[in-house]
Amino acid sequence: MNQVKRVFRGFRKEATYLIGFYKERPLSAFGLFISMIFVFLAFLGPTIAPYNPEEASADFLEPPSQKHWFGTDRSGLDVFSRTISAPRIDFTIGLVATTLAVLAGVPMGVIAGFLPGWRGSTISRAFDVLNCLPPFIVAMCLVAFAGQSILNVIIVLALLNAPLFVRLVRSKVHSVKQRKFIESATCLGNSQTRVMLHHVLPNSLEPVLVQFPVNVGWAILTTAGLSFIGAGVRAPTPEWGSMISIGAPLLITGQWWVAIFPGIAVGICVLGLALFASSLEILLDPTRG
Amino acid sequence: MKRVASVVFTRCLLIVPQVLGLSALIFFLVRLLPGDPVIARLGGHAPALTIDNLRHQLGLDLPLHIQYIHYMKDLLRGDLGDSWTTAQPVIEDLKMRLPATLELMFLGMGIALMVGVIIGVISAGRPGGLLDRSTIFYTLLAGALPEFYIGIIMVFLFYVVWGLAPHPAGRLGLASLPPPRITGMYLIDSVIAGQWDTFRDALGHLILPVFTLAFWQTGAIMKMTRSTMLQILDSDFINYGRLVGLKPAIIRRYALRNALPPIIGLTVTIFAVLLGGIVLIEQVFSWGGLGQYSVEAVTSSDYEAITGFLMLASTISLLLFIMLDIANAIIDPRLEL
Amino acid sequence: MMDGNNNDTLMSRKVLQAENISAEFTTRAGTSRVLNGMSFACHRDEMVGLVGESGSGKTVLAGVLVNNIRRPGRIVDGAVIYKSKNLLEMGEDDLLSIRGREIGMIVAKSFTALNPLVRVGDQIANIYQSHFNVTKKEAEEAALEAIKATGINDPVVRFRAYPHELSGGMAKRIIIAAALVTEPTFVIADEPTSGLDVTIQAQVLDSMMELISEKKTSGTLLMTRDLGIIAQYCTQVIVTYAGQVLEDTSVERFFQGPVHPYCKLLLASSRLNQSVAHEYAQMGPPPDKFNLPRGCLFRERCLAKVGICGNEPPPLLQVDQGHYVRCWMKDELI
Repeated sequence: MNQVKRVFRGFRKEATYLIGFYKERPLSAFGLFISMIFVFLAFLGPTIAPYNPEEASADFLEPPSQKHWFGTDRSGLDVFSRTISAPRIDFTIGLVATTLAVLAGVPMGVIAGFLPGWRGSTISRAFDVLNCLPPFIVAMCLVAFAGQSILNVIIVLALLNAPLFVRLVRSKVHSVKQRKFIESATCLGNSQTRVMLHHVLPNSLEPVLVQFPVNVGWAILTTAGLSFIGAGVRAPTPEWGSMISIGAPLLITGQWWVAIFPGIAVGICVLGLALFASSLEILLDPTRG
Repeated sequence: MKRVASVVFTRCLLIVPQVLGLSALIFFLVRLLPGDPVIARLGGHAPALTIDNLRHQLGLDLPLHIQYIHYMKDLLRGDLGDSWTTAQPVIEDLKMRLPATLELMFLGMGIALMVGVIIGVISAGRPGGLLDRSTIFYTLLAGALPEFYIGIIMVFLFYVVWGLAPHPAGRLGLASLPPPRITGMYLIDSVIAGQWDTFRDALGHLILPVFTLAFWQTGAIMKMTRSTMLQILDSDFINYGRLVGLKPAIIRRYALRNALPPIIGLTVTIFAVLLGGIVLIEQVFSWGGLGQYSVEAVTSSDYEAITGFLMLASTISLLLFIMLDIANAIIDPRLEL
Repeated sequence: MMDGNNNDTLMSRKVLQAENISAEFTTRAGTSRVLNGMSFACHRDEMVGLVGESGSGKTVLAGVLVNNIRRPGRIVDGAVIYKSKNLLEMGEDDLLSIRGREIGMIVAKSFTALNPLVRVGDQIANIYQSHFNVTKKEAEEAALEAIKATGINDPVVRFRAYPHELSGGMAKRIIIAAALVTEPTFVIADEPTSGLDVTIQAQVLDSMMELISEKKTSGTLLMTRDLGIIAQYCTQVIVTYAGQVLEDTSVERFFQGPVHPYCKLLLASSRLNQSVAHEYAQMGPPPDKFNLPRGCLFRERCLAKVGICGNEPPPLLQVDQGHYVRCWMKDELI
């Protein structure tokens, strides 16, 4: 019983600290709030949308009104419903792709960081060559050739992001390894594996955590870009990028609402994630801020 | 000097294996993808004989490594194959369109670097001031919006609403002819030929896409310059300079010089991102450069064009990385290669 | 300072005088008072040794003496009198001609004080050129001479070296050269031997002292934790604690037997008196700078305290000619 009470009390202390932390940083709180809203929309967006995001109707090209808050597009699809249903695609793609990239990249980074001298740096150099390939263009090619599906977009984005995490973890492992407490752990008789798993790894994960929301944001932007040029998610699936591409020609004829609103949504979502990431950075590293 | 020479030598030595590695990577990446280019071109209903003929003609029935050897042999002769969509040699297509993209990239990147570094340095000098807070706000905004969306907004505001910009399609208005081709960049060529109307027209069409590119990337440069400068201004050696009465001009020189390596590193990162962004921006403005070319090639499964384009883009990136590596080694004596 | 005549001569022999200097650092964690009313004077031809534990504010003081404090610090009170002018009220332009020129600074962390991207010889030349209107070549020659004078190996090679190519001892000598190249009137040496191997320490210190006497410096302030160095080179000793001066006297008097309880402990533990050292260590850390106690700052660790010590902070009281102690019990402890 005491154990449970102790854990609970510890939890409450942490929670109080976190609440205080976010209270005094309005921008970070905003970021956290926005991120949570989009997670919420990813789950329940299509459900709470006033209209079916994929069902055409006869009210085409209507400007924003009481009936259609963000107006409608050429096929009569309600822009508002589509905008809030898009996170289910965009946000999910971003989240899953980044998670996969982390799961693939972190172990390789740890291993690369641990291998002393030339072996570790050779792995780094090999990945450096990959750096020369412009990521967006490679993504474009891969998705176009592999076929436009959500799964393919996820796999491609994961592949493109994994090297970043390999590099991130490798350099952090490298610097953690030098620190004295690792030396003492080894001297005390711990096996290399134990030192690696128990001491080095937990201390090396901090940059990964901070980079994670940033990468989700980048993945969302890339997905939007791919869909914009028709190499990503197919219409009529609601996706911000493809919505903007549908709306782009309409801008010139004056029907601005089709393209403008989805863009604002992307901006707010990615902004929220970036702010959240910077709050994580301050939280995890008490010497900053 | 000796150190710089050895750095240059080592890096240049590495070029050959790196380019080879890249070409193999690109080649196999493109070839190994699902999807059959022959069927993509002829349609699924073409007679089997036609399909086989075309496949044989294109050399696609040979084993993959033989195809690679043929490709490398051609590459060394400067032959990148023929594009299926334009029926031209790929290398000609690329040559035609490269200047358009370069013009856009140099101007956009150049403005972003200048504005970003200058404002970054100034706002680091007055942390917490009005300029500083405005730039933080701007950086957050610019980094969160997709570049194509920024382009679209620019078109909307400057063309549709305010009527200031010309019709956003291509590098020149419909009535104009391009200047005689020397570099392929309209601004330079029109000045050389003395065609001032063409110059103004080209400039007018350049403004929006360049501004989009610059607007998009300046934020990141500002942020990085600012934080680097703040770190440096707070450092031990700058404080020591103050303690011993170093002239403020010399202290400023020290600070700027020490800020260079991270800024150079950032340029490298930005360049890779820029290449992707250019593709999208060229689409928005129908620019007719490499970006648009690559999109058309991808959507029409033009293997030769895509492979050729990737080779070009990656080689440019590689060369840039090497140049920046060398620049870094020159500036920072602690770096060995 | 009772005797009128002595007073005058004493006053005219003062090179640098610190009066009631207080400085604090304000961070998110609160405000930390690093210097609490420091007062002392350095006289002509005296080598003054300032003793302080780690974290007692020696480095902060070194900067404050030339009106320089790093963010987020603030000098809240006090005056630094040099050549009849208060440095803490001087403008930046005037300070530029004092810092590094009239008052030389040997900093504690020599590696990080040097710009990693510039050759060390050029850095010294830059300092020289900042103070004298000379050509680049003349500045470089002066810098080379200064480097040679420190007794460093291969001075010509070292001139062209980058900081990361130097060892600890070499870097220290470069800093010494940088401080003395302008032939300053007064030298502040902050922990000149910290971080050096014991064998190198003696060499570097000897070189430094030789140079200082050669250059006919008017006075030196040597900050250290090492009582041995004070005993060997200094003529006056000032013991600081929690940002205050606890005892200020001549070196002979000090090593005969200091008055302040803290100084007694210091001396005893440095003489490897194990039981005293142990006792001292048992008493815990110096006072929390964010939350200084009332009364005497040494009260928590003091064995001789009485009631008043907890209520009234003692001022610096004169015990004898040129001997000052900050303790209510001074008369009992002599």
